[in-house]
Formats: sequence, structure tokens, C-alpha cells
Amino acid sequence: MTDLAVRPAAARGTTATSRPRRIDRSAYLFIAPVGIGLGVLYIIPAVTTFVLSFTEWGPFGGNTFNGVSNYVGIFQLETFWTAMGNTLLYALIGLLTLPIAILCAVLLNRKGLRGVAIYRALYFIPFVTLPVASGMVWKWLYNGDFGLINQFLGIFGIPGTYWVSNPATALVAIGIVQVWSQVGYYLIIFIAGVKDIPAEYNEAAELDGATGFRRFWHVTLPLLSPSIFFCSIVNVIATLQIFDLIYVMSQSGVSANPAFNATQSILSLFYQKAFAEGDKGSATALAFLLMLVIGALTYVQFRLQRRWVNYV
Amino acid sequence: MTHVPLHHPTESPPESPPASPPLSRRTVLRALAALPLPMAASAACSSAGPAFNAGGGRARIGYAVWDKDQVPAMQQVVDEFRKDHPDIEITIQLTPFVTYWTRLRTSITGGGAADVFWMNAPNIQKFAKYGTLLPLGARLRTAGETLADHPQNLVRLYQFDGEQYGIPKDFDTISLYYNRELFDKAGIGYPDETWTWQHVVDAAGALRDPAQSVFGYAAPLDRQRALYPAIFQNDGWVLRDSRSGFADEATIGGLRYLTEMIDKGFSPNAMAIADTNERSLMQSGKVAMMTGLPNDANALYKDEKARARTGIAVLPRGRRRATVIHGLANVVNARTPHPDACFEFVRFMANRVTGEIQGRSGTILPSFAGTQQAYLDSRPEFRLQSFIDQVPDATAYPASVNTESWESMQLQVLGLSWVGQGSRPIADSARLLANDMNVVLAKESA
Repeated sequence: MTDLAVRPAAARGTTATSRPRRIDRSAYLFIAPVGIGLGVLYIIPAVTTFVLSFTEWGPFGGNTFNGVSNYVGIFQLETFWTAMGNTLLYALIGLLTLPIAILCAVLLNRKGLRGVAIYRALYFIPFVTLPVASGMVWKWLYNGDFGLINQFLGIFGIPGTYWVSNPATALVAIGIVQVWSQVGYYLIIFIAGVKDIPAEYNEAAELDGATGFRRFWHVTLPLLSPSIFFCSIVNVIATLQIFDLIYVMSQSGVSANPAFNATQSILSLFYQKAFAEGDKGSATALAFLLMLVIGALTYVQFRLQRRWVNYV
Repeated sequence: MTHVPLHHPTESPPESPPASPPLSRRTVLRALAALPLPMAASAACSSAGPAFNAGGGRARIGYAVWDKDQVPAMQQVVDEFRKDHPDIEITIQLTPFVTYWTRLRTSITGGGAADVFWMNAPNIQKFAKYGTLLPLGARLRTAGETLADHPQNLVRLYQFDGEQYGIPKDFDTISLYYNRELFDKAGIGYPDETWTWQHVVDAAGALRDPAQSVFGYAAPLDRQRALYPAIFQNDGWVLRDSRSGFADEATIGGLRYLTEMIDKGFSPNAMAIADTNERSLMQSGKVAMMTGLPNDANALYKDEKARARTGIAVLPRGRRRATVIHGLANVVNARTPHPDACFEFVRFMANRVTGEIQGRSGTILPSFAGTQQAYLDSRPEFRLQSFIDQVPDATAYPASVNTESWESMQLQVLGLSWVGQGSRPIADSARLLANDMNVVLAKESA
């Protein structure tokens, strides 16, 4: 390394530009392990997908270039705009995970609470359960004629509905399961975040006469904002890619569910195009559009963070 | 899955080469070369005459099917076939239906697909158009096989561009299932061949019992069981000259017959049926009438209570008597190294013996005329004859090259008219569907 730094210095004046280039080269070695993995597993497939989105696929392989017609076709497709709107709605509902997780984290951090480990495990179990399995169980809970939820509502004389087959309720019903399954993950992050807040801040606030809620609002939340920011980025990216719950709860079977379109997300539309209709060109175009949306929303969040995230 | 046509001078299977004469270098090389590339091997041996008996060698054929229940019958067919063709070995390859088509398409693209396989109406034209199937027309003519003993609309279902690609093996039509107990309780006579739509509507209204949550009729969002029969009964159509028939008033009228049942509350709506399907509701006595396939009798027959009270009748007539007919066919992979052996096999399966074996098994209605008696006898309590009686009135299952793309649209677009009072008028949904379908169909014929 020293030798790299010294030699260009000796040659200064003759090839001044060669100095940074030489240092760069050795740096590549160090980023190679990550770089190769990223390249092979993410960047190359992403670029390939982008290229394939300009092709038309035959049902038995083989593809031909067809320009932007996949994109034109998608933009003309009514279900694409429905799916796009639905996907954003899923993301919005998914964001409810964060306040719930924060609330639970604060409650679990109260002094003198016993069995915290058990609560943490209980909250975490839905997250580690296969989405397909929890989707199946929830589908039964939601069943309009025999589901537990409607039986329970019936006790109070409240009429239920076919929660995952009613176009008016299906998206929210699935969104709730998504929230339920994700809370545990963010809870763990927030518990760590709350623990990291120095006790002095809270003690000082208490001395100044701040009550529980004011302390939470003016001390805990601002100091937790870096964790919240991280979680909201991860959460939005994850819910924009929602698929398995939808597939299991409202689109399995012979797709005769009236809520099929009302619950369609970009990724479930991708699945339908790629595997049900065999239109892999349109499917790859959809995948690329989804990537653009994810990129855009993540960028916006990063821009907005200056306004509300406090780094200590 | 890979075919290793070893043309050995002896009868010994490829796994155990003869011990006495040491293998020559050439033999080994030839065998190795044949391993990964069945195509190359077939090209090499085509000069030696028909692959399946050249020099006493064997043909090994893979036969892909998707119904577990039919495997025993199919094995019997294979055994029967091999009595006359001991030189052709046939392995049945079972793939569940949910993954059958994905697997088949992938293996045809990548090589290693079965030599003979089951085909259905939504897929036949796509497979034929892309040259993946062996044309059978010339071979059938040479063999003097006319397929006259199979329902002709089924035979035509497996033609593409004037060429025959598949030979029907079985068939199904739609019949009316009804719950005798509920009919008795309401004091209504059982449905029979004199019934019209009006009879069904009247009976459905009388049988409806909200207190017991019993529905008079089930109108599911199911194209084969409900939509197509109703459309055809009203003189409607689904597909003609690459155009969608869903905007036609007659088609819409057929669909309206179903949606009105829901709007009047006589049938559970699509939300209820999506949660618990009409076959389960029928079995638990919550639905008095439904339309169904021959296979739907299986579950009802196994359930002793349901068996005792279930009746089957021909579909009621709308403007005319009609139902939809569909059936599977046996087709041959265009890239098989043993086209002659494969043809012998599918030709055998087009005959009476195969029909009789299938019928006896009680698992499927064979398409060969006159071989259905054993099937009928397997469930004497049910009037399965209804499915056969309707063959003359049946319209073939509609299909085009990309059937699956417009089929998947149907249920999604029509779904919004299937939720009862206040849902989108069926005429609006049907016209929307016609537009969407025509876009796909136009692309297809371009």
C-alpha cells in the first residue's frame, strides 16, 4: 500500500492523472466479494429483465424484440391502474404497522413488566410463520358463512360479510393480515431503539413535569426517529411487493372470486401475466415498472427525512 | 424421461449389457452420444426403419397424465396394448394438474418431455400452432382409422388448420344435480327432460328457505359448469371467427338467467361461493339444485347421506336444449424419437378396448360410443345416463390459440355482476369482457 502511495508521488509532474486510478484498482479487490454477489444476483438479472421487457415471448421459449409495445399495452390495461392503486393502498395500510409496533415497544419497555421475552416471542411468531400458512388460517377466520370472525360478530348481532370475497372489504382484510404478520419484526427494532434512548433525557423531562404521554411525544418519538425512518423504508419496499397473501386469500382456486381485481397488486398481476397468461414480456415490463415505483417512493422518503429525523 | 434407444442385438435391457462379447469402443461411444440427445439418436436410427422394432430393439415411451384416479385404468390399457406390442415399453408419468402445463411447456422447450401426453381444449391450439405435436392425419388415413365412434365435435376440437392432432379419450357434459329431500319437502316434482328455465326459476324460489339458509339454485361464476351451458341454451355464443360473443344480446340473456337467480336471492352470490363452493353447499344440503360435471358425482357418491338424496337430470331447456362438451385427448410429442410406436399406442387408445377399460374403472366417461355402460353401472343410484343423453345437443368447449389469456379475464370482469343486488348490470360487464377479449383475439390472429 505504501508503495502505491509513494510511487505516483515520485512520478509527479509526468503522469499526474495516474495516481487516483492506481488506488482505485486495489479497492476493487476489497469490494469484489460483495460486488460480484450483487452483480450476479441482482444487477445482471435486473438489467436482463429490463432488456426482456422489450421482447415478446412465445409459449415455448424464444423471444423477439417488439419495442415499447409491452409498456404501451400495460398502460392501456385498466387492471394495471387498479393494481397500481391497490398496491399503494397496501403500502399505506402497511405503514400502520409502525405506530402499532412503536406503541407495543414502548409498552413492553415499561419498568417492572414481567415476561417480556414471552411477549416478544408471541409478537414475533406471525413474522416467522409462512405467509401461505397464515393466509390459509386467516381465510378460514374470514369465511363468510363459517368463519370465527362472523360467529363472534353474530353474538353482538352485527352482520358480517364475506371479508376476502367482498370487493369492498377484501383489500383491507388482506392488509390487516399483512400488518399482523409484520408487527413482530418492527417491534424488535423499536424495542432496541427505545432501549438506546439515554435514561437522562426521560429523567430530565420528568423533573420538568412532563407526563407519560408528553414524554413519549416529545422525548421518545424524536429520539426514535432514525429507527422509524429505517423501518418505514423497509416496510414500504416490502408491502409494495405484496403477493403471497393475495394469492392464497383471494386469488387461489379457479379465480372466481369477485374480489379478484379489487385485491390485485402489481406483483400478483405480474404473476398472472407471466404464468397464467404466459405473457412474459408484459410481466417483465411490469416488474421493471414496480422497481421504478419502489425507487421513486424510497427517494421521496430520503428527501423528506431531513424534516423529521433527528440523529443524536 | 430421457430416451435411450439402445439398438442392441439381444433382448437384454440397457441396464445389463450382455456379458460375453466385450463392448466395442464404437458401441460405447454410440451409446454415450445417444444419452443427452434423444433427437440426435433418433436421427441416427431413422435410416434403420421403424424405431420400435429395429433389430429387435425396444421403444421406451413416456405417457404423461394428470389424474391420479385414472392411473390404474391407464396402466391396464398399457398392459393390454403390450400384449400385442411387447417391444414397446410405456411408463406412465403422473404430474398433478396444477403444475402439469407449466412442466409440460418447460420440458417441451428444454427437451425431455413425455412422448405421449394428455391434452385439453384450452391448450390444444397453442401446442399445435407452435409445432410441438405430431400431426396424425396422414397416419390415421393410412391406418384406416376414422374416429367415427367418438363424438364428432370432440374430434374437431383437436384439429388445427385442418390437421388432426389429438384422439379423444373421454368426455364430459353438464347435468343438473338436485336434492330429492328438499324437493319432497317443498312438494315439487323432480326435474326431468320437460323442464325449462321457467321451471327452474319457479322451483328455486319455492325451495329457497332463508331460515335454514337453503338456496334453491346455485349459479357459480364457473364457465364450464354454469356460464357456457346457459349461454348456449339461449342461442348465445362465446367465440366465432376470432371475435368474442359476449356482447351479443343472446349471450347476455344467458348470463342474465344466472345473475337474476342471484339478484332474487335464490342462489348464493359469487362471494359466498368463493368462500364455500356450491359443490360443498350441495353436499351439506344447503343448495337444492346445481349444474355439474360427471366428476362432481364422486364426492356426492362417497357421502352416504348425499348419495341417498341426490338426483341427476338433463339440463333444462332455455330457448333450446344445450350443454357444453369437453374431453381430453391423447397427443404425440412432435420430437419423440419413436413416432411410429407412439402412433400405435394412441391409435390403440382410440379403440373399444380402451373405452371399456376406462368405463369399468368408474373414474371417467369414455368417448368411444357404446363403451359407457360399465361407467353407468358403477353408480346405479345416480342417473349418469343424463350426461350421455345430452351429447347430441352439446356444443364444443370454446377455445382459441391463447384460450387461457381470455379465460382468466372472464371471471374477473363478470365477477362484479355476480354479487347480487346492486352489482354492475350483467350487460355492462359482458360488453366490457367482449372488448377485452377482442383485444387478445386480435393479437392472436395477427
